[in-house]
Amino acid sequence: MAPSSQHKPNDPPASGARSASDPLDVEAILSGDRRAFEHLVRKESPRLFRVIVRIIRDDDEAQSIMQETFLQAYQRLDTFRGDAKLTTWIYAIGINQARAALRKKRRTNPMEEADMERLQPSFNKGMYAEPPKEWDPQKMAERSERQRLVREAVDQLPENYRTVVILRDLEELSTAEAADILGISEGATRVRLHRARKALRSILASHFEDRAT
Amino acid sequence: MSLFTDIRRLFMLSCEDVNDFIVEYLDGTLDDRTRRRFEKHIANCPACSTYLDQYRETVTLVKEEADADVPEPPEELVDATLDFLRQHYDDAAKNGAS
Repeated sequence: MAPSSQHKPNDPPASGARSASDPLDVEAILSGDRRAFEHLVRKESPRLFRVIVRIIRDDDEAQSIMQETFLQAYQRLDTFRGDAKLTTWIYAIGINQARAALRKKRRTNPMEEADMERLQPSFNKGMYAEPPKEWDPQKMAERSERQRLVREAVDQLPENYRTVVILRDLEELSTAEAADILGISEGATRVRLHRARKALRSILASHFEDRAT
Repeated sequence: MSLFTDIRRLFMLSCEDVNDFIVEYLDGTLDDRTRRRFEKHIANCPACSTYLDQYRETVTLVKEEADADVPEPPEELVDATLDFLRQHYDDAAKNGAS
């Protein structure tokens, strides 16, 4: 993963300061060098926070999960096998923690696999069983309503589908990076993303379709 | 995938095939031959053309609305995280020693 760091002017410490734009010294980090690890924390905190808050939808809890993520990562550096980039490995820890916290909270009432199946397009002899209707631009024009609908649609997705949308479409990671974080193959990542997007399209279509067509 | 499907795809794509290829098409990872057949089908099929437009619009809407929805990280995020780590770096060592 190559997350772009968001450099804040007050980021670097007074002594031994590195700029947040400086490259990571992975070798030093893996040897337990705290200064090198803290440089990674400065570089990655904003983006990791954003990913976690997208999943958990709670700023305070996201910050707490992020801190625990960095601590766990530091304490488990000797288990990093180098199969993926170090930052990808850390994101995987954070995202798994966020997903676990979300499941525990059960604040949302996500759809189940059967609901996801119902939202997929169906085909008859290779053709759409129900060709898609045009969307009404007027129904899509009201921004606050649109924002509410989109947010509700994303929140309805089962957590494993929502996470792949967050990684691919919101954080714009590659399929390979998302697959590494999720611990699944690239093919499975594409399939999951496609099913999620089709379900979202279907949910939005139910609001945006032009009934006259 | 059956041999029949493979052979059929050599000549033409069905709407279902086109739908299956959408992610790879948008990622730019389809091979040239399949991409050309995909685009030819879309150009001649109103249903697939509409579906692809709405699929793209969905991705765009999710990105736009989600971006508007996520707060900026708190200003003290980095400092608070570093403080937290400095207080807990040695927890594992202490636990391991006990």
